[in-house]
Amino acid sequence: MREGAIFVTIGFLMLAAAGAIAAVTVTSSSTITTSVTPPPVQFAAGAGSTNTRYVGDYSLSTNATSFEGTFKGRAGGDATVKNVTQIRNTMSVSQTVTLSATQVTNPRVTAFTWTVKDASTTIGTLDHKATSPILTFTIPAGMTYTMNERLKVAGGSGNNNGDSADVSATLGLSAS
Amino acid sequence: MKAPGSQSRLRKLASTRPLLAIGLVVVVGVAAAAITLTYTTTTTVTTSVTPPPVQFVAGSDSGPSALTNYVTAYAISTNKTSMTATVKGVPESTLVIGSYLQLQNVDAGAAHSVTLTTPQVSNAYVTAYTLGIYTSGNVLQDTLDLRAASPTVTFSLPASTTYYGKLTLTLATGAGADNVALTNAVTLTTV
Repeated sequence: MREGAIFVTIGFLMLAAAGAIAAVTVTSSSTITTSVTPPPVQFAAGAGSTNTRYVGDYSLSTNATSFEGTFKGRAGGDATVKNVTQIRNTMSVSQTVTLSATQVTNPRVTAFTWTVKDASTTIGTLDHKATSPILTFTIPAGMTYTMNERLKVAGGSGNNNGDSADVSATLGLSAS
Repeated sequence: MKAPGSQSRLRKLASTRPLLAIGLVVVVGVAAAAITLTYTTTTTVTTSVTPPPVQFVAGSDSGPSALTNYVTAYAISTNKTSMTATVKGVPESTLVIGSYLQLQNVDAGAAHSVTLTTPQVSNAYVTAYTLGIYTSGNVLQDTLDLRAASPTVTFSLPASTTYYGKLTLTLATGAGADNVALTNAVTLTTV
């Protein structure tokens, strides 16, 4: 009996020792410093942003990462406003830019696009009528591209006849 | 135990030969005090160092060989127990660093419980600040939310396995170097 008790005691001691080995804890401290850097790709107002016949209330956000505006069409008209807004790469390396937008489903709006231009060369076109509007392109270091807006509205559309062509859409910008 | 009657014989001896009785008591006392055994042994304890089971590895998108305008001064300590880095967010934007850091369990024999803790980030211009912990297969294990009241995350890292951390930082309009300058100590505890 006594020997059995001794063995049990030793067993408990061994288990306690094993537990102590498993409970080894290693602790270290790292440091993350958080700061701010300017946006690498920014919007800028183009000459067309002040074309009040077709563009109203154009404004840039504080850090030029977004813009707002009201773009007016004409019933039965197909208007293109050149250089409404611009995209600038402020970095010393090229950036991959992706523009993504919400779909415009109003049938009275028959065309609504943004065409990115390098002077006279077309870089690409974002189509708001597409199911998932998206446009990806590369902008070289220090380069500025312009964006032309096209809005085509069906004939007979208006704000007072139940065939309004009013739409609200967003345009997202990401850079990497 | 004294034999029965030993005390009475000692009293009798003391009455007849007192000096002899005192001598016997002294001898017995000395004998009792002498039952003291002192061991002096030498045990050798050798102290050395073993690597911590969970170590930092540079993230593929932000390590020293991949520094960008968004991550600067990235460094990992000699024994890979800690890292330092500066993350630069962009106002009005969400910065995502796909592989900001990696945590590697170099212990081939056992999984280890890993806990990351850091003080809360309460800066109003920082609207989101997280470190997602992912497996190499891109499965999210848990997320350290630096804006939480007590940011902490605990997960088990299997033997010989590496997880990576995806950092997401969103800054609000008006954020600038003058109002977003944070330093966070991130504690890594491995059991």
